[in-house]
Amino acid sequence: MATELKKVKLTSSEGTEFIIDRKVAEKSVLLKNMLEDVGESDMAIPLPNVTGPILNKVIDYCTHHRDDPFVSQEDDSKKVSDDIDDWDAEFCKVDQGTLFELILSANYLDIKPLLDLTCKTVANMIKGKTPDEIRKTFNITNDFTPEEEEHVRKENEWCEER
Amino acid sequence: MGATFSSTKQKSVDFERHLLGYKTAAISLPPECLREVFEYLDKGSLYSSLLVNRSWCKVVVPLLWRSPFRTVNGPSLETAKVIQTYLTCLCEKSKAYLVSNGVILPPSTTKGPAIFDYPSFLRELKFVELYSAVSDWLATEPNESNNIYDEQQLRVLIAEQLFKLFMNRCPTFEILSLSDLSHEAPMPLVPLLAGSGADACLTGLKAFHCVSKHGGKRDIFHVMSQVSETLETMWVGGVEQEMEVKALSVFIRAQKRLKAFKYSWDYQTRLQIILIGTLDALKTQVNTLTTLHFEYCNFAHCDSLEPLAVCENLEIIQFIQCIYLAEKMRPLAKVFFPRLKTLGFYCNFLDSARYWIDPSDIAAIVKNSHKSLEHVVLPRVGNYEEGSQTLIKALRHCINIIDLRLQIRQGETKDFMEFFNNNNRLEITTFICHGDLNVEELLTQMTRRWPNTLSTLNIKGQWMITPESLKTFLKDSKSCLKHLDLHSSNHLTDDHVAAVIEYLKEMKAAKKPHLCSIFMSGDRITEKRGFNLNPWI
Repeated sequence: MATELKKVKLTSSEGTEFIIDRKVAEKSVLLKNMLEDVGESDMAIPLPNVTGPILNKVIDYCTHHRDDPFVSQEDDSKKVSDDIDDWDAEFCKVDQGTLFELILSANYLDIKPLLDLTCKTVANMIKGKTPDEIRKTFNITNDFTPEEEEHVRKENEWCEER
Repeated sequence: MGATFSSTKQKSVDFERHLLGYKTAAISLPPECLREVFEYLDKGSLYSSLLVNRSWCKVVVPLLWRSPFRTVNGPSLETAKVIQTYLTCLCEKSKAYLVSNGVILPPSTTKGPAIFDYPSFLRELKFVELYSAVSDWLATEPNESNNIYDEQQLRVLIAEQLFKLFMNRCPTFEILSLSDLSHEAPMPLVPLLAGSGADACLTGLKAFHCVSKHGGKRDIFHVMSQVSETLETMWVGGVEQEMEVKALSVFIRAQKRLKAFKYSWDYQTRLQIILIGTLDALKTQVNTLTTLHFEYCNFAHCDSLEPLAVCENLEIIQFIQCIYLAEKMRPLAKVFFPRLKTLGFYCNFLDSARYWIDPSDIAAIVKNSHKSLEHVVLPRVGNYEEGSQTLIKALRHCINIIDLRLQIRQGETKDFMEFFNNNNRLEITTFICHGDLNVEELLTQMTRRWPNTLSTLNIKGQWMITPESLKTFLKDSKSCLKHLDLHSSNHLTDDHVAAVIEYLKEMKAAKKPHLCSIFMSGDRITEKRGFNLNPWI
């Protein structure tokens, strides 16, 4: 119970300070390990890779999911992306830049469920699209030479859906 | 054409170089995050992603080529195309060897290197899939001038060269399967497993499967025990001669962290005979072993399961269609498996005494592990005195069971209800009824205490209920009940089916259907009736 009430200080890349429950912070494996190593401390933990607005979103997510059990990932099962609940879907209704930054932060802070959620969301944006539609969606330039593209196409022809 | 191909090699080098130092401006996800995203994509979407740009391509290719034979749907033109690309990756010497032996390699496989080193991405290989893919490839290629060798020999030659290619190019295999081969393996497998590159490639192997008729398992186990010592899963079967059994024991003992051992065989061929030596060997894996799975095994020549009693980390113990276990479980009843989640004794053959197991031993195991058990299939107890009652009483404190399959007779409802009332996680229950059990009382009592988790109810064996009572039960059932499977050889009739249809119509009229499926079968039902209830809703 005591750990439940403990607070943790975080600072974002621009120096904004966030004070959150230790339990919320521990959704991040990175922070959890840090807190375990450091023990009791009032020092703020600097997160130079995460901006304030993104950290705010991440904290929202961790607060909402604070009581979820920790699921250890057994990678045997096939991954599906159509199991996103309403709150999570709403959470991911952000612009693409924010979504990518959330992925990067979840990866850096090691918050597996948030990484899964955001990656599923991006995967759902790709599904069923042609290469050209994908490029448009994510504003990507095709940097293949026509010859290369033809080779890649040919060598991987077996996975083309007909 | 010639000009195009002659420039390919240079292009390929440029391409790789370009990829290495390449940074996208538009999308800033690093490869490790892109990979996470791509894990959720199906084959078609992966193919689209492959062609988006160079950096996406570089992340997608290893995913597509992890286990290409498993990714495609059955033997087809697709598997032939996988082979086609692999052939392109063969070294010149191998290509020349194949050509000199009568294989016609199409121009695309002989000109220039492939853009990626596709074989290096392979992590899972099932030998039969490779072999049949080679057949698919041969079937799509013109063959007129291949008279020197018959097709069978060509297949062997190509499969052999490709297997060597994988062994030389893959840094590490994760899964290797030599299962499902016919009596005569198409080619000697041992030289391949002991050949160049195999050592490095198989050192990190996590799973090895060899459930197969083919002979020569002794040598296979022998070679494998020298290269693969860190298997997590070993799945073997069709181990017949004494020498093979001994070699298997050596193979098991060579392991440093075996987690799961599966011994299985298919009933149509014959049962796998279990010898105590194999169990003794498993004892060496005591620190890591969590899963034991025996399927179609014959324990007649094994006096006791005593060696397994030390394996206190076991989480899953399953015996599927195994015979002559009878009282041999006793040593396991005397120990405590604190992590045991799954205990299963699945068996189809109701009346054959060979399948009966002493209930007092199983009851003791259930009692000991009552806190951890989640999935339980209780065994057939046949003529053992008060067999099923002993087992049902043992369930009393199992509050975490999610899925339960048990036998039940007249007079055992009260004991079952004790378990039912205590448990709070039950999702699936399957009753195997004996002695024309009237289930009305059981169902009425269950309805009163129905937990919100219980969504599937199956009732099989010999049981009865009046059509009216069945309908009443359905009406009283909770909305969490989604699936119902009823089979009674003697007592379910068309009247029961009519009662169910009537109930469904009433529910539809009242617009409150909650069941998703009902399946009814039995000798006295004119035709098997399965009701997928979507149309009714």
